[in-house]
Amino acid sequence: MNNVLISLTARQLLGRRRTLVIGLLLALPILIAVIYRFSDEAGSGEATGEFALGLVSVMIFTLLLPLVALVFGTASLGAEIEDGTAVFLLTKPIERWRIIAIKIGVASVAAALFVVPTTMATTWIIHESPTADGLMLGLGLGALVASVLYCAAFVALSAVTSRALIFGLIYVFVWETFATRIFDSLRWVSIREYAHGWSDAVISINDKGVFYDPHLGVTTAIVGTMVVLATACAGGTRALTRFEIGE
Amino acid sequence: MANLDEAPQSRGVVYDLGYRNYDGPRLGRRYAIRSLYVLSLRNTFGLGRGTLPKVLAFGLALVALLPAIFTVAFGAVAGEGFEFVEHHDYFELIQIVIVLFVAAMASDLVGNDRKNNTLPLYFSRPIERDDYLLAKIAALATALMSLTLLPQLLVFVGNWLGATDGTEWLGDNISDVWRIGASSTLASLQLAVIGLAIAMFTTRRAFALTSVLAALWFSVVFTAFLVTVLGPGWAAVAMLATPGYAMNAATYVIFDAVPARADRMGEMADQVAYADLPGWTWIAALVAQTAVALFFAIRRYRKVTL
Amino acid sequence: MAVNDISFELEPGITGLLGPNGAGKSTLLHMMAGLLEPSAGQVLVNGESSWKNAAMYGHIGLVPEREVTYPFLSAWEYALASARLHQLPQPEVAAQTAIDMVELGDAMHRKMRGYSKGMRQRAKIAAALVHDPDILILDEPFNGTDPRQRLQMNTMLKELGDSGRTIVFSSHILEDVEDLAEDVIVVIGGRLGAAGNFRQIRRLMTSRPHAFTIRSSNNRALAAALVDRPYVTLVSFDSDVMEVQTTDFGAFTESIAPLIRSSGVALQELQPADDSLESVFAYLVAR
Repeated sequence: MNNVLISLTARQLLGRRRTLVIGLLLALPILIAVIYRFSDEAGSGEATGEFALGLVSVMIFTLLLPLVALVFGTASLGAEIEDGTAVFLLTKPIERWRIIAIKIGVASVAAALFVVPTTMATTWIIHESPTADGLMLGLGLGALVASVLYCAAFVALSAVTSRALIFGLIYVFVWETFATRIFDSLRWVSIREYAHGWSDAVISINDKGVFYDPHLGVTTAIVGTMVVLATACAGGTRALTRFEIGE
Repeated sequence: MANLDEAPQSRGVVYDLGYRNYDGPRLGRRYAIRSLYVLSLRNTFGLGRGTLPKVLAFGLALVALLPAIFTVAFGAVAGEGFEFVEHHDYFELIQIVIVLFVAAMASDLVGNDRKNNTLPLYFSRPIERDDYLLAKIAALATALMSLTLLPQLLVFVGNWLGATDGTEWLGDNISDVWRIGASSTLASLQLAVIGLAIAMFTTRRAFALTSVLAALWFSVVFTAFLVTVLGPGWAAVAMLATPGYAMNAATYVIFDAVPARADRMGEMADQVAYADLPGWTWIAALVAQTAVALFFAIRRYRKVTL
Repeated sequence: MAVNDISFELEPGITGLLGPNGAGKSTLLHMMAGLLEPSAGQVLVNGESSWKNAAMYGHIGLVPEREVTYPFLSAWEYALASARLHQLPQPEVAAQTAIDMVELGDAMHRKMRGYSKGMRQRAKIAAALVHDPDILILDEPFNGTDPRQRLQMNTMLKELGDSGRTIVFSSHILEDVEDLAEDVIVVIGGRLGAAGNFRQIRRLMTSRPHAFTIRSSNNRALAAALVDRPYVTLVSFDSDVMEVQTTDFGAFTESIAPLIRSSGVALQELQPADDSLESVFAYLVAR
């Protein structure tokens, strides 16, 4: 039974057009990294480390990663609801939490499959010694956690509203980008910060610079992660139990 | 039952169910276009729809207005000298909010008609294909003015309130008013046309949203990084091709605020200065991008099958 | 469409849910299938509430009106997926049986995106039958079917109904319901119009008084002839329009033409005053 759910979701998510577009989008940071490598800037260890962190942090963590997770997260459940095939799943004697869990799982795996290698590849290309200071590993870990958390949040959101995508985008680009910058305390409610917290546990560069600036300790990050996952699963299940067919 | 020879049942009968022909004045094409415009504008702000679209539209507009509101508040309280936010920087500051607004609204404006199959309904009325498109563009551009023109006007008012001598300040700064109008109109039109053009090429609303976001926002981030590693020639090409850059650069030019110091690693304004191009090129780029998008949109709509 | 003040019970056998478009049939069926929450009252399936009750789907099969098929699957894969999701012990056998029952055997390995509407409909039915449900709910199953498909579906549903299952299907076409259902529930404008045995309701329908409006060269002369007839219950005048009520539709329509001829009147207009389904059932409801 789980296999059927997993297979159905995966086949829908990894359609040719979507995979192509996401692949192209994620080729961009790699492209920039390659251009950087072959330009005159590449060389000194400290500067390349900072640039790598900057590029990865801004372009991937702020922009591409949330977007990829958003696309997979909202498509995983939201597209089925919009197309109507969700009714096929919901008129079966399957526990609703199982449906949510599998949707989140498949979306997370799909997102991570794209995002984590891109992050690690970009870091590897730019940096002189990417494995030093746990840079590559740390950023990869952060990318993994971020993928899972964003997907969880957006799958749950699509169970609640049909406009999950735009509200997800607003959360990422207005809340996480601006609001947390203006009001420091809001960082406690930010998936990006949780992910950075996880990265921080592995990365041991002391002077992190302007772009990569983790604000939360590891414990907070782990707690935050648990809270997001629990809320997403519980909230999504609740919404799915009360699913009503639209007009 | 009935005797077929006698009863007139072999002939068809059409009953008069009270349907009456309309003999009154017909308002014609201009009125139809205007109605479509008003309807689209209302839909953008969620009027005539549920609560969620309203929350979305007004919420985004509010966020876009926040810096302006702060300026008015500070201007009334703090007095002159306090410049919370400058005119030429405003669009750059709220760039992502504007882009999200365009993305969400464009995908709705075009996607809903496609999904609900109301296009045949529209095109069987005295409205040409181009008219439909133009009405939608006008509606979205007008809606965008609430995120471009309105905040700028508020900033102006805010600064005026903060001036020690109101009339003198007004005399010095009155020329800003036409600048505000020009930059807002250009930006709104550009974004509306490009947003709608992109949204038209996809069927799914989610895809449209992401595509518009990519074209208007990702391009900016991507170009920002690209410029840090390119020479001035290529950097200029990249920036001229990016809608977000063209828009902000045109605004700098209109407000005569392109910085003298050029730094490709710095803010957007510094990067624009790095390209070292005459002011009018940026405005031309904005117009060109709009024209290209419009061309493709018109062509697409002429071809689309119902 | 909201439904208001509707109560009925469904027994084993086939029940037709009849009503004009937008009357609330889909609303009722969705409530039965646990896909809509009743704002007042309850919907009980085998004694349990249908709302928030995922376990009951083991006994219910729903064939929705809308698209619920995955275009990238074939009918076989779709039925098989359904069987597996129901955790049947032998999913392939169940899927094959269901596919055979809807006669999709030939096309069952083609992707459903290439199916015609009728084929997709049958695939939906197959998926709803894999687990051999006691209760089968079909929303507008005859929509867009050609006569041959209709016959096929009829036979299949009759078989299923005869084997003791409870089947309810909706339609806005009288003939579909006529052929198939012993019991019928009529819904109009969200309200219950009639419920019970189909033949009885039909009889009630034909015995209701019908009204006609007539315009002729000499209404009063015609009226004099009509008043004579036993099946004419009411004749009234309103300027140049005459209204006639009769209890026997058949007798009236048979005799009106000869009557007009023999009274030497020239007929200008004759039409039923209000023959809509609404008025029929408004009458039934008022009884």
